[in-house]
Amino acid sequence: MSDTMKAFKDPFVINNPIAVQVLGICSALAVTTQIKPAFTMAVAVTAVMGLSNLTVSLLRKQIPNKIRIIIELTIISTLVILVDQILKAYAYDISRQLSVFVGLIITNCIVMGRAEAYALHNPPIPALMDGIGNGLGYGVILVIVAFFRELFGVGKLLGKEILTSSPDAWGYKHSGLMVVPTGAFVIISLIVWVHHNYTKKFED
Amino acid sequence: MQESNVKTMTFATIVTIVCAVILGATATALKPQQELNAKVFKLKNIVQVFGLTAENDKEVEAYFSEEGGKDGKFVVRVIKDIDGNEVEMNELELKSLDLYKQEKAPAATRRYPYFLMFESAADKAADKPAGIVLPTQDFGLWSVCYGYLSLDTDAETIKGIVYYDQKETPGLGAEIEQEYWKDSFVGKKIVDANGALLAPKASKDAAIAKDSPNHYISVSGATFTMDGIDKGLVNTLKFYEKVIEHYRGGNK
Repeated sequence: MSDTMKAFKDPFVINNPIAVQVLGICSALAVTTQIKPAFTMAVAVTAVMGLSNLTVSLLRKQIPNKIRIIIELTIISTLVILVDQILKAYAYDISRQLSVFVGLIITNCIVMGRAEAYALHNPPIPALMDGIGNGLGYGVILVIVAFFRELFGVGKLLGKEILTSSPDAWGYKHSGLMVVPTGAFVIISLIVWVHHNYTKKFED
Repeated sequence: MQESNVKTMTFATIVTIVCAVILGATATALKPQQELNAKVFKLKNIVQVFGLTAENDKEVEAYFSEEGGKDGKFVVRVIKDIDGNEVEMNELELKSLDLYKQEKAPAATRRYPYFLMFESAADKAADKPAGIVLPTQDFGLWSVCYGYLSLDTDAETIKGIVYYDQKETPGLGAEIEQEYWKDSFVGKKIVDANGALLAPKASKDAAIAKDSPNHYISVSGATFTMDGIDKGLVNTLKFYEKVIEHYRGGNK
């Protein structure tokens, strides 16, 4: 496996930011009540991560060591504000649903962590792939969590009614637990459990 | 190797300038589209607070066009004082209008917009609206809560309320976006037992909030927000008293 592919696949599958590194949990709880905003958030984070890793990697030989963190932060914030502005212009309803959490991508430890740990020491292409891989790794979990929360919380998928809550007719009732952040915790732990069992063979 | 301070400073300056230019250019380029979105969002809330549905932005805008939307047409009118004297206002001026600032504004520049809903052209010609949508806004705890209050044909019964822009505490003040809170307004009256205008008030007693025609549910732990809502509603009734009086008792 080439370095580039490894950079992409490793965080996406094995070293998943949420399931293994347990990063970015705050937004994973907040934006996963419905699939649509979760998907938008996943795309936004992937775009920010890919571009921030690419930019940091391109500048890695120039960035003065003394101020590298603040430079990374400046690049990331610029990208996040760009994403926020674009969402406000072309996906207004979703941007209102995501509210502060788009701005908070800046503080998402995955973004900063990858810039600092990977992009600063690697060439642009693998850095870009690492960013996208991590973003997608985060996004996939987000969408999976949102799938279960939307389905069992309000009985819908992408806004279409799938399960009807009628305790009298056939005894099924929407789960209030899925609507609150606690539900996301439960699902994430289940994902971590499944993921850990799957990746056990990669560990020594 | 220790880098020189000059290099560090130069690098920081360049990065800052480049980022600033990128952000400035994007913000300027996207501004018209963002403002249009914000406007349509407001209009959508007016449509929804009146209990009407709109599938997409086009349908929303249709309600405010010459021809009207699928269930009727909203007409915006503006009065310049609480005596109900009307004034013409262009869209640009309307956009930057904040109701809560009107009390402190010089009397000559005060403007109060409201929306009349007409189901047909005949109703419009006869000035018999199916209801009125009034803006209501005031300071909550953290920010101004911007909302709309819709009244039924009799201009006394509340059809619905919505706060479309607020930054109150999630779980406390921000509960004003929840259905249960908004539902506690539906069917309530803006008149007291003697028929005089009276703004609805928050009540911490669930039984009162449910049965009294003049109370809605107070969210516990959100006293400042509730006070702001109360004050905004009192002001709304004060500003639009003449309009409400004009249409009261089912003009239709």
